[in-house]
Amino acid sequence: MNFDLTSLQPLLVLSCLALILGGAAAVRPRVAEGISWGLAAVSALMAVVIGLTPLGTRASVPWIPDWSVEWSLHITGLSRLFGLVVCGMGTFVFAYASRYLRDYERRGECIGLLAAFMVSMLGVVLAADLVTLFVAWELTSVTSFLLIGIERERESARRAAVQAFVVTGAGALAMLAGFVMIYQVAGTWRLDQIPDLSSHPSTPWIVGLVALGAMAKSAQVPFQFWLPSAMEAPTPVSAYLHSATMVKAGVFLLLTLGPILGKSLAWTPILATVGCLTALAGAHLAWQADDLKRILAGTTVSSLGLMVALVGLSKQLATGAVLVFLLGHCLYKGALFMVAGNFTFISGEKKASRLSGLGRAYPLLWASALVAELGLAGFGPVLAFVGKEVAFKAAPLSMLIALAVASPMLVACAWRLAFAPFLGPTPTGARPLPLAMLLPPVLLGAMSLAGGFAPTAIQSWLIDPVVGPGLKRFSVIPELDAALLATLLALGVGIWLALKTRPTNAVTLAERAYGSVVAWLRQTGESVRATTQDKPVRKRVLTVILVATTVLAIGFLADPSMVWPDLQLPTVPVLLVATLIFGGAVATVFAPTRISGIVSLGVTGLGLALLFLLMGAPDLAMTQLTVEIVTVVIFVLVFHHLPRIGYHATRSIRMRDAVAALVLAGFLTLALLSVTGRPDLARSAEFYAANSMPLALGKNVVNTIIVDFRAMDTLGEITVLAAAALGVTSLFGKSLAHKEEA
Amino acid sequence: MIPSLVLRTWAKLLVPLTFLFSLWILYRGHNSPGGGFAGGILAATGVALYGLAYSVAEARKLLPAQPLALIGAGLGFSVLSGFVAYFYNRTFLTGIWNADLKIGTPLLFDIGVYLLVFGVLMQFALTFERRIGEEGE
Repeated sequence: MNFDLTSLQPLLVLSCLALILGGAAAVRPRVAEGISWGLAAVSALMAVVIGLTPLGTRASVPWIPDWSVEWSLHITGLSRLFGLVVCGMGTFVFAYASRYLRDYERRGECIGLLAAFMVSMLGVVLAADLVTLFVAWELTSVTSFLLIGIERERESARRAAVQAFVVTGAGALAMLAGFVMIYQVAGTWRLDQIPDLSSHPSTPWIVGLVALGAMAKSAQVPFQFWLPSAMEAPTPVSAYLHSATMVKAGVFLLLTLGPILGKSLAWTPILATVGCLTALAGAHLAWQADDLKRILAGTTVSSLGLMVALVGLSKQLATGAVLVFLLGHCLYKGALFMVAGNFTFISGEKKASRLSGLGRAYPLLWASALVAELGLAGFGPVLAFVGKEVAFKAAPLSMLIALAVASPMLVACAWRLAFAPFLGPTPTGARPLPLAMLLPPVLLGAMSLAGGFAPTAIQSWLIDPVVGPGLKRFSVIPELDAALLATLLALGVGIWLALKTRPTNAVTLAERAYGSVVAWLRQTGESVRATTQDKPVRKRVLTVILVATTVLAIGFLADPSMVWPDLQLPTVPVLLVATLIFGGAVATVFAPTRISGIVSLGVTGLGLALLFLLMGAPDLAMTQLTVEIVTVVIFVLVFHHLPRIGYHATRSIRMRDAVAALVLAGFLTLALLSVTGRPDLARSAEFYAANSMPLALGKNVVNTIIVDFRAMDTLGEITVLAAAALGVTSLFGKSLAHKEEA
Repeated sequence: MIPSLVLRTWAKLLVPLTFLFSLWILYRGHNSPGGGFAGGILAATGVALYGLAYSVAEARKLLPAQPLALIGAGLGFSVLSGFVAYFYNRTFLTGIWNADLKIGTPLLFDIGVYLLVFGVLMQFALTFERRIGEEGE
């Protein structure tokens, strides 16, 4: 055995360990609390390993060598920073979740999925090529879908999960198209080998497609509505996926591709506009909301907008600002989500306006909340403030105006969460807060402060490797300039807003638009079904036959050059078997009862098996035989209770059906003959026959094709089979469930 | 179900025989006619026959696990057998053989196919049988 992944091996081993622990939690929910602590330790260890691995470490294994597709990971400055965020936040989230989810019915599943998400997200940020990045990206979407919809019996949870998945999935498809275009232009998937494509004529398309993916993932306008809905998930999930890590994947993607596409003419207009609009829309969303987590989701959207706008500037200072702000945002937003979860844990309340008087009983909680809200308000000695100040310096005037409008609304949210819930007389019936739920937000707040006081250390360790040297040292002491003036103004207006306005819980335009698109799709689907499927079985089958015939006819029209194979006269046994098959088919058509029809059909099947045997294909014969038997058994089961066959159709309708069937059969025969006649296909048959033993070590050519040469096809086929079984289960199982209820 | 003494007696005899036979078909598939697909179908026929003769509940007792679990296990087995190649620095699903034991990952893959086909057919047959059984009551 030899690993090619030598230097990233510890990280891979730890990732496997995290997956195993997650699986164990899913299988044994009773020990999920302990496992969650174990996962906290593992992710902390992973963060240390990422911090210690030298930059430039790369590892890969081939996947599809013919297209130079491989699985590859690397550690660059950017992936180290994001990797630390993923694993570092993972540590806090797992520690918090261990206690928060203790009494939760689906704790095992939730913690298992969180572990799976962590590993997928790590795959996104460590990916060294576009294909690995895309696969990991989709895996985060899938785990996010499962986590949002974890309470699947609630309709709102299901809708939110589907919404998030549809939006991010559609964006990812656009992104994939962009990736393929990059490959076509650059000739490589490897991130470190793609040259600067900014001046290539097709780059605007690439920028547009990739930006769509990033916008969907990072909840940018007009896709911002999925993030507040995603708050259906348990709080640790929201804190981890929907504020700290997954929603930042879009920003990560843009940062990764910035050096390749950033100088394109399309880059700055698209991203800066979208980012500023999102900053405004998110702040408005947060200001209008009363639900604790929806407020936080809105502010997250706003912060993501700021980050995207800054990446869009494609300037060194702006990129530095994004990275500092991103770190600061993780710290304070993670803490805020945990504080919100603690509010709900203590009092059972989810609305901000109904909380009061918690300050006296939970002073440490208040302290951590205050520190976190400094970050949200964008003022004070915290890391997020440092980032925001740099951002204001990097931003042009138009962007500054947008931010100046958005900031007061964020300040208003911070003000509402900082004081009203804590002031006043202590309410009765409040539960004590366990240490495991108090410490994570306190520690995050402490880190936020520490980062605020020592931004230069962070800058030289984490930021400089990404943006390069030469950036001014960051400082927590603001300079007296327009940026500070804007901040102070926002602070004043924001506090005034918080005191003067009440949340209205308005439904956003984008969310309504999504709703009507979904409704339209349903309606269209229903009308298509009604015109093609909602008919007697006879007509449904006719639809299928006509479609199949049309497809084949188009094929023959497109390429009329028919190659006839060398046909030989059939031998006597073959003729006899053919007669048997023909007789079976005729008997099926004229069968008086269903059972006799099924048996006659079985005769054609048996005849086919015999034919295979005569042609020297015992494998096919055997499989055909067993399939025939099973088919007859299942047919008998299904038809057992149906009424007797009645020939309701008139003579002309039966003639029409016969003609349609014969035309399709004719086309199929032609297609088969044409395929058999093609010389290149005959060559592949020779290849398999010659190489079955030397390459696949098997004498049975059919089997070596199925399980070795073309195993990928087989994998696809058995996946389809599994999906069909699930379909049958949901179709028939559902009516069963109804019966049990009745 | 069909309350026939002949069918029931034969079903009892045939189920273990078809199981053994299906395993043999699976194993010999590499060099002679057979394989996971045919083996899985064969195993399913035995259980389906038993279900017809007795009842769905009785047939379910014959299964080592729920059909859906068998399907998941089969798919998982096949996919995992593909990952083995990565440890030998080959790409996904490349056959890896142990020359001495004459055992390789294609056989593991085929076991996955066997489990999945068996599970899918069981799921079909048992779902329909259960429905009919309930409607008949």
